[in-house]
Amino acid sequence: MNGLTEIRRQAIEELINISFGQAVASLAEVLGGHLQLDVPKVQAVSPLEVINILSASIEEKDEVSLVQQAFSGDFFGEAVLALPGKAGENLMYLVMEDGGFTPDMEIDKLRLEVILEVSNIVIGACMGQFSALLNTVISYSPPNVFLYKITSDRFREHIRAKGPEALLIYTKFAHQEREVTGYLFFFLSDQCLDWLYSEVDNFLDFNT
Amino acid sequence: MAFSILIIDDSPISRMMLAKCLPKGDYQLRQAGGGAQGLKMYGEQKADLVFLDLTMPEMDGFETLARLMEADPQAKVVVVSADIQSKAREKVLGLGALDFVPKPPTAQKINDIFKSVGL
Repeated sequence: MNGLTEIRRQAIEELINISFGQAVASLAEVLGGHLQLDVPKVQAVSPLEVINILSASIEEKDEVSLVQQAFSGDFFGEAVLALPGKAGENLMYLVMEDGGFTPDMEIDKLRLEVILEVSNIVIGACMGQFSALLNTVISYSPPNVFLYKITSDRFREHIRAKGPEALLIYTKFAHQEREVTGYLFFFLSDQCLDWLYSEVDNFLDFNT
Repeated sequence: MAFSILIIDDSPISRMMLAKCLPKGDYQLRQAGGGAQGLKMYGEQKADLVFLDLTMPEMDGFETLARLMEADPQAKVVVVSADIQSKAREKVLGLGALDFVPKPPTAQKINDIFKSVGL
């Protein structure tokens, strides 16, 4: 299979670019305003490196809201949406302003609900489009929310539990008017990489 | 050489996908891997039609489009982007883009654009 060749890396980046664009457009409809997209990056890493890359990318040493969601099908792995700083809280206010109402709910619970809903939109739309471009279907496990540092033992242990190698795909979005930046990471298990590379090769044969 | 096309996109795969959608014809196809390079190539030789990506590192497509339209208000630029937000579309049309094509592009849509600009 020759692993992650340059052309495969470029193709996966473009497939995620298209998929993430779809996800961010869905989120922009909910939040209002325009969200700036970043160029996706793809690299082969070990699970230990995943923690370091997540931590370095976020550049946030304090509060961070993490939503982790597993997906499975022809390809499988995990998605993580990281919302550092006050992003979770600001998202909550954006949603409340847009809806024009104050829900009858404790503020911390509401913040969690908003974070879960945003992650549902971003992860679901992005992975849904990505799998559609590869002509397959995936299913999702219920999401887990972690409200501690990305380097916390609990989150680290969760990530460590995965296979010896992974394909890490990451990108980010930022709301242009409010302090909301979200980082989206996917790591795909090495057990599905042969399938993925084969489908990417087919995609390249058909589209280029 | 009847006319020239310029594709500005940081992704080589995206440029290849778009090039495959172009109708057959006698034209010159040039490709730039970023906004700054695209502006330089356009400055050296104008293109009859420019396809421009939005999400690019260093100089994004919004800035590239603004600079290109400032340098040549008659430039014909079609934005081809994964950023399909309505505000992105409104912004590029406001900056002077002819059309907005969501990625991945289709041969039918590109063909329609060629016809609409008389190529």
